[in-house]
Amino acid sequence: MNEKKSSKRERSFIYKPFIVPTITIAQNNKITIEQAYQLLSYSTDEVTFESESGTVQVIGEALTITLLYEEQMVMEGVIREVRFLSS
Amino acid sequence: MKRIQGKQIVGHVSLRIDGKHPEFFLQRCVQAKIPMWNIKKISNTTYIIHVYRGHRSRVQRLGEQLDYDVTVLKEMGLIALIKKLFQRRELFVATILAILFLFVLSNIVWDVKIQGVSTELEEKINEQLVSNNIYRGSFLFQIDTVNEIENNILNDIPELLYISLERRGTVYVAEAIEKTIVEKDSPLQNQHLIAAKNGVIQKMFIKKGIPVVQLNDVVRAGDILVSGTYEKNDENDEDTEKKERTIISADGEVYATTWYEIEVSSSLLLHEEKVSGEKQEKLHVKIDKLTVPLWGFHHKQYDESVKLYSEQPVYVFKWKLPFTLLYETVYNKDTLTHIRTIEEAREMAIEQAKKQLLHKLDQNAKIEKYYVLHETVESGKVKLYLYVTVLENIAKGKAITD
Repeated sequence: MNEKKSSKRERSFIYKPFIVPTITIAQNNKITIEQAYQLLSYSTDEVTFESESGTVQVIGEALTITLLYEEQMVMEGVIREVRFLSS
Repeated sequence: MKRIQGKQIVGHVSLRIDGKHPEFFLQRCVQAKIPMWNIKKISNTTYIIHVYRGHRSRVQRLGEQLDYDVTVLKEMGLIALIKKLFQRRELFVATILAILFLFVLSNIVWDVKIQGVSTELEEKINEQLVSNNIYRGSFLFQIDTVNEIENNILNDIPELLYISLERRGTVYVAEAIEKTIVEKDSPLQNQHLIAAKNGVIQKMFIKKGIPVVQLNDVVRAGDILVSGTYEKNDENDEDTEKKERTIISADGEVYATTWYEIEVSSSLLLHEEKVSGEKQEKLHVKIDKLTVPLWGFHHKQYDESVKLYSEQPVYVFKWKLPFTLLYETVYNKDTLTHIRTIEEAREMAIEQAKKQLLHKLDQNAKIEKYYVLHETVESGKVKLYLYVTVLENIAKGKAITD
């Protein structure tokens, strides 16, 4: 039992730094979110998702989700603002 | 983006999702590892998404579980296209038949033209072409390469000087030139006949000129054998030694025994490669550097083999298709290692030396005798030092300068 607990602790210790979401913005028309996220709301001018580090809001125009997959989301459109609401 | 690169081949569908908070549904799809793309919001309760064709049923099942309406709007991609074609079977069959028909028609010889020769020779060439499967209505697949046919015709019809066979779409055009016999009218220049090599004169055939040497004379290279000038005394004036010199062009053949010293060697170990009659044929389609096998997959492997390739372009009428048919013939090869006796190696070396020498000499030259001056066996080789006597024409022309 003790061994199991220690291995779980070790795994969580190692794993945690890698699940921090990576947000990449290319110019102002493409944004890629990698690692853990959860889509909360989506409209053409606002996309909100929750990540490990808190809620992130992308504000822009004509936003479309060009790819939605486990640990990766790609959005395209005119990006005006990226807000980190809470952490 | 790699996730959706194969969508056109695999096929994809656009789905409409209806229900409260479609984001929640999308999140569940994400958790179920279903890739989605081109997500569009139509209203607060309606989204349009694109997924792979194979994931459609999983999305529909999730929709049933979570109380969302999932409607298929459109199927796209290669598989959907093929499926549509299959649904209209008569159209599909007609298209395939039309392609096959076009392919067959474009691979038939529609006409054969022979240009540049007389009617008699034209008939002969036509016969040859027919024997090589070139006639109206024959299939292009049966026909050998143009070069091979050209060589065959040139070998079989000696009257032909030249033939060019060209394929213009479905028409073969043969352009030929007939041999014309030209009278030899090359006047001999004023010349003596001199010895090209050292030798002992054996026989002479003099057409013109005054022989200077006799049989069994030893001559050196450069010595005059037959003189091209003739001097006669003036009979009317006997007292005065007035001589008239006439130039006649010497012509003829002077055969002499010549000699050569040759060093030759022959290996005691003989490696011989032999192709047995066993062969396998394979057919490939070659697109640029890519080769895709079509025929002949399951053949047994030979221990040693020789592969021969023959490439045939495929045409639709005069247009060459971007792929070729590659015929591969694999022959079974046996390598034999044979150890010769010293006697055998010696005989081989002598024969080889004789052949090489005759190859260098005139056609009429004959080897009279040979002597083995020295013989050694070392490093698996028999080395011979031969002395060979040859009977050959040693006369050659030399212009008379004064």
